[in-house]
Amino acid sequence: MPTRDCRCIQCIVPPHILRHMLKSRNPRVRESAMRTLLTTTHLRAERLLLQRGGFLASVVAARRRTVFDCEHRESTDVAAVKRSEGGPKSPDRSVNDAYDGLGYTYDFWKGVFQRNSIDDRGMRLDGYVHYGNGYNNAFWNGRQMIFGDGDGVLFTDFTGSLDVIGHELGHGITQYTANLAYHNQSGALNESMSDVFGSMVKQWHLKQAAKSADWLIGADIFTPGHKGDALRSMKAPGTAYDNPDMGKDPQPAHMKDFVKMPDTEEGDWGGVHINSGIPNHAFYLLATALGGRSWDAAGHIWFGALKQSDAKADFAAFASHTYTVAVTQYGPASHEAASVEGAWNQVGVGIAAPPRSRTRTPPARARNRTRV
Amino acid sequence: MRICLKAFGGIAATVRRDAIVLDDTQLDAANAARLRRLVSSVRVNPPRSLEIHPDEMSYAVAVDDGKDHYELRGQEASLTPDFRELIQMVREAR
Repeated sequence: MPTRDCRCIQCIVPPHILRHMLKSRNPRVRESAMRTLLTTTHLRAERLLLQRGGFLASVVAARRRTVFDCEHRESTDVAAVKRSEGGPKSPDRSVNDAYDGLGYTYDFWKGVFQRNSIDDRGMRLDGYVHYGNGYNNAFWNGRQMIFGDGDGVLFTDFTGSLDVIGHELGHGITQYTANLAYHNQSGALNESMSDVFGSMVKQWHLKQAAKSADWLIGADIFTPGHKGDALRSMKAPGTAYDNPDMGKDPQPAHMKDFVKMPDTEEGDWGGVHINSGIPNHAFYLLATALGGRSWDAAGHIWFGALKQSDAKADFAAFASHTYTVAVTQYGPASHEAASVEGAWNQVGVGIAAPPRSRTRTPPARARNRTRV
Repeated sequence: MRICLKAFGGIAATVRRDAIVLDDTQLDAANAARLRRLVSSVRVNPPRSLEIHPDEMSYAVAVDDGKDHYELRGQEASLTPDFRELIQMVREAR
């Protein structure tokens, strides 16, 4: 498995050792030490500025959106502010779509999970549109949300898809909770959590019940003339697309079809975008078995399990956490606990040591949840 | 010089992407020289990735310069300006 040694050096090696490394005969050691010292100095200065501004000491309880225009450069450093919180609409549709999508996602997390932005401390939501030329991607870089315009052949503007925005900001939520490692099963869980959150944000915005939702991810990012339906289907993994331009959707829906991939760029870090189909389908099965809205019981069980998980959680560990949360919230004999166990069973993931001795009385908040 | 660009990752990581091949014999003299300069620059100053970001793109450029075969790799957030220019040049030449 490839490791990122620079990251370890930044975290652990104290400055006096780094300064000693600068005198090494090995040029790679000298270069690594210099880079680490420069990066550390930069971060220290950044933190100092933030502290002087009082940002670290206070928790902000309101939306703070800013949308920047990269003007087709592949850089966020020189992007211009095009719309900030409460500001007037822009003549640029991408700016407004990004602004609205960030707002809907913030409102979803605040209203449904009482979470104050990505870090639960009111973190700014910065979106960068028109990144690159015909750039076919959207991603979360750890602090910012980047949107490409798409090439206009296969993909169109990525700001036009609320589930994609919810997916990318979902990576931020995971980063600030379990911080699931982006490799193999924990990486597939990371991807799956983002699909679950992205789909819930869209369903919440559309006020859809679980049974009437499309459970597709990225259905809005294809050009109108293209046959692609979506990037992924949580309802039927492996069926989102099948055409000569895109190939065939490789997602499995069951552990018997788990795809073993190398933990490399070529191998999608162990198939993180492939095997996410398994926990995706488990969530779909749970939400539809419980009925009502996905963000009520099912969403709370999933997010509760994420908060209990550690960075190396695999499917079985996460499944056990979902069961623990369901039993704790609703009781061991509840429909919710049985449905969680049933959903994981249907995708071939066993739950280890179910805590059957817990209380049978569901708390008032869980009992009183509404259904549509 | 013959180079082959492959892209990986992104939110659409599972969608098929074809490699793009560019031969400097397809280019005029100025662009062929620009291509060689960019390849040389990226080889001398490769990007350093500190961490993997979810849904980030990664790039691999296989180079056959007639004497040597080697590969240049980088991730979106840590690409050098010359690496970005090299990727853009290969894409535009398609």
